[in-house]
Amino acid sequence: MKLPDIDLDQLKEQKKRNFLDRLDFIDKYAEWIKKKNNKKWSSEQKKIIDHPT
Amino acid sequence: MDIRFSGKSIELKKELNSLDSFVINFTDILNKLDINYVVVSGYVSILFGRSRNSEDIDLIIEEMDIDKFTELWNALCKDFECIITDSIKDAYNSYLCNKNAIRFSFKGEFIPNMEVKFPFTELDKWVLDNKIKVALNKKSFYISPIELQISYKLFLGSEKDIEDARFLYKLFFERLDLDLLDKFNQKLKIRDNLLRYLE
Repeated sequence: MKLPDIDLDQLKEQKKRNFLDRLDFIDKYAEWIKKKNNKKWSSEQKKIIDHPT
Repeated sequence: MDIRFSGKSIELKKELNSLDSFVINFTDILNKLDINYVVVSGYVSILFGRSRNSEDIDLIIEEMDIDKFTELWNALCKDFECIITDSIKDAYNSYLCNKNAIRFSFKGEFIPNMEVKFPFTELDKWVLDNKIKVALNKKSFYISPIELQISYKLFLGSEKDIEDARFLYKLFFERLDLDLLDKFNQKLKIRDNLLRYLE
């Protein structure tokens, strides 16, 4: 089996981008929580914690 | 988000997840025994909605003698079990008094578990003295001030910790004591390359 050429700098750049994307998601998620009532956001959170896919 | 702040307390109602229920069950025993404690670290973010799970919850309890600890152990062991050791003396002498944590889970389970330790650093002692009371669906327990959590999570510095810090900062920005946050950032020597993650 021929393995791909791996560019570690490219992977590091991808890791950095993923992290920044998650931070951007967290900003949007925090804003969403602020706007929603507690029942809405907490039932969504419960799905993640109690029934992870 | 419907949340009520008043002085050193926060009132919140939410649909409880299994971590919330675990914390309520555990801290209920500490409350009944009048033990000084504070929940710190990741669960503080999760309490307020952070969309991630955790296998453990960090808790600092006041230092106590072996008799008081035995009373606590016996009360906990009705519903929980220590997954580190089954010996009270070992838990007290080899772990807690030796600056190590012990962990309790619901009987027969392993996660989630409560990681319990005595205060070791000056920061541990400060947070015990300056804890915030949370009334969650009319059950009460104590957590660290949010400002310290933000700063401490930046200090820890993993991607998950930075995300926790940013979540709390963005969620509570209008409520934060920015002067206190700045003081903690200075004390913990949080550098600009980490502080930029809050903006």
